Amino acid sequence: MDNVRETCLKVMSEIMEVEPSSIHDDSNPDNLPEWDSLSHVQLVLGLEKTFAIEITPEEGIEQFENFRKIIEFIEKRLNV
Amino acid sequence: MSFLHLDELMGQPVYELKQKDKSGPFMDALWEVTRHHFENCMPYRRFCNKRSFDPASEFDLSQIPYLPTALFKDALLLSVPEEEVFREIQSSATSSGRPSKIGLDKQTNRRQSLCFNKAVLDRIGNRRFNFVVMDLPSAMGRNAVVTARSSTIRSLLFCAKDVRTCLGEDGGQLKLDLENLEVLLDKGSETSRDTIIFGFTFILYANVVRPLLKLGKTFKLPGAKILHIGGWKKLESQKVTPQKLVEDCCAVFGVNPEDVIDLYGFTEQGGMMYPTCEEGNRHVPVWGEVLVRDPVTLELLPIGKQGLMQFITPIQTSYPGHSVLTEDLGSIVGIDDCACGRKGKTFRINGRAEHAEVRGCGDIMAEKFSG
Repeated sequence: MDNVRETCLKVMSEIMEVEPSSIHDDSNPDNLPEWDSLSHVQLVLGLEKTFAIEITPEEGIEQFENFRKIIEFIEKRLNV
Repeated sequence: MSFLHLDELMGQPVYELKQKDKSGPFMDALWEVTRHHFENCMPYRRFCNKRSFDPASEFDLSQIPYLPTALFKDALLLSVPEEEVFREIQSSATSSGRPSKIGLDKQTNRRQSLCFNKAVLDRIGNRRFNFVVMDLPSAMGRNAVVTARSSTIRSLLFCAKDVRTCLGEDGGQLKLDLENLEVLLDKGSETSRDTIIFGFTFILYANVVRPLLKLGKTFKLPGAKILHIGGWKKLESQKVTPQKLVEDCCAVFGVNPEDVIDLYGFTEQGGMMYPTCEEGNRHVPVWGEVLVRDPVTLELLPIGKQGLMQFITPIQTSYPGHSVLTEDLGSIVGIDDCACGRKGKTFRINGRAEHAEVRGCGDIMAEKFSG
């Protein structure tokens, strides 16, 4: 599970061009300025590619409210 | 701020509730939000007081005061402290020359995005597409003050797996990059169902479809979709009707008529998107309502009668845009009975009112919400 978290952190920090230390479980578009509509799309696509999974647009809207929910979603999808 | 009834309404499916089942949750949310605007936006409260409207008492849909779209051009109306506004949206101002200005806080922005996304996904399908955007690369702007144009393009990217633009500039004029377009579209039918061609209606027709027709250049894109929005005023003056646009898009791109989708919306109620359905109608989502008013008397009109369109939605809480009377003419064509299967009210937009002077707007503008 730590691997999923660390990987998500790496993907997110690269896409949003922020230090991993500035991303927390409750990070979301309201409190992380770099998280806008464009970077959100890039994040979803980046996670799809990294984890070799498909994320529908609806899932990208409803399951990606904050960083913690993203991790939970990926873990569930990977059955870890 | 929390809006419990609004949150509950937002959790409903977009077009599955019949009108009678939707009315209760919708009105609960509308009462909740109208009271919020009344309590927090002084100009709006004065406006209601002048009309002896008190949202503390229950009201029905026809009684809620409507703001003409012109009022959003004069002042930035807010129902939240100004420091909570993180984005200001401006309309394109093609009709009046003055743009409407809307202030969004993060809650309203998120709600509008969610509503927009759900309406679009319902129409195009819940999967990702290769977007070919008929605009300049600079139209996908990333600034604190965004135009309605860049905001709209960015709003669609949530269902994109790839985005390319196909227009350039030549002497200040938009020009189709045909070579690039051919590279993007000539990949065969196996990928065309994953393709969405998007453009603002006038730009799409004038700078892409018409030039391609003149060149005799066509594509075969079975399953691809054409999305377009706005800009009918210029096309109407050139006698290009919605039917002609569909026919010409089908001729040029080799798509089916039901896959040419006209998106209708307006800046004053961002997030509220009304795509044409497979039958060519437009559907009101569960978080919206529509009324039609006589352009002269402003009295409510029944189903089938054309008049000024009034749109009502509680989704925006940072500004009092919950009940807006537009300058668009249209009619309600049915309720719960469209052949496409979507429930709720169905309507069509037929054009702009020629002399869009809403009675009562003059005195509103003159008093400018004075006490």
